[in-house]
Amino acid sequence: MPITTPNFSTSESLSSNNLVTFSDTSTGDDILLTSRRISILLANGKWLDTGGVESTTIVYHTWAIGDASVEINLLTKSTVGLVTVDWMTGAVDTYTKTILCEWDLYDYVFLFGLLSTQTSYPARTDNQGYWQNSFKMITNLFQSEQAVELMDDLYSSQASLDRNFYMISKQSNFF
Amino acid sequence: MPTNAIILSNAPIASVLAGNDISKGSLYGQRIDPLLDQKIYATYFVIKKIYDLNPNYSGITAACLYLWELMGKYGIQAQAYSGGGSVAVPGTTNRVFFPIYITNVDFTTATFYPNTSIAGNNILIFMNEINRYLVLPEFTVSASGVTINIDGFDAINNTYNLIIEKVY
Repeated sequence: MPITTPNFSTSESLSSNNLVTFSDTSTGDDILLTSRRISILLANGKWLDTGGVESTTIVYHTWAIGDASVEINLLTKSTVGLVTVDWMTGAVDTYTKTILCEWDLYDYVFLFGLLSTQTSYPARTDNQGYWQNSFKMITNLFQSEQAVELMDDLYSSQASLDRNFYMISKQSNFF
Repeated sequence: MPTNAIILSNAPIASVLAGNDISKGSLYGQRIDPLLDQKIYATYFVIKKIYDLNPNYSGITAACLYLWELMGKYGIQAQAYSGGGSVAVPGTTNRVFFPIYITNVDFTTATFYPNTSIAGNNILIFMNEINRYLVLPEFTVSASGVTINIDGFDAINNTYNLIIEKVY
């Protein structure tokens, strides 16, 4: 019996934001399949390799056909990627599915860290433009998620996250 | 203090209420932080995401309590909308109304009539086929129902009409 609906989902680890888990949510079964492979296209046209390394040539991450899910060390910052999973029969790409995926927990954890500091030092809210820049980061996050959910727009979503990444990397200027 | 879940369920409402108050504040001249509704929402936005992924995440309670303080009186007011913080209304018990008219069809075995509401009541059982009340130990009452102990009673193969009455 063939796979009737090839599909997958991804999730990012809250405790280790660099780890992304891919889970096969396909319906149907194809006993002839021999492997899966994952490729992730970034907004800058490069391909995402392990450890956040970007490659100008396509990178495939292997996903054993017997494993319902696979965890890969992918990220060094919040990232949006056009993820393609291929279900292979030998060297033949039998089924394929592409989904625009967002992994933005780096930003949430950073904002939560700021909030945790506030719980200890609430006087900080009165200086350094804390709230103004928090609003800006949260708005960027919102825009990034909406760009994925409503617009299927890889570039706009990553651009929003990149604005946050700049604020995180220069955080002493903003918070 | 409310639980983290209650704080988070009330925060969006508190943001709305704060926004309303800010609008009226400019009219009535009250002293209020014009960014309070945005601060409540921004704080909620971050905490909610983390809480949904892991409600036991390190620091989540401190962050929720910080949000609760930020919500201030609007957190209290929000509970009027959400119901959070109120006392649960006592539910009605499963009352049974006597007399109970049953036939052999109501039995699940040859002798057992299931009804969890009867136990605790002082009852009489009138059996139409013998034209009299059953006397103990011709029936027994348990938490799960009533068992008829008359010799030869067989609700599977015979027809019966019984009336269960409560004696006060």
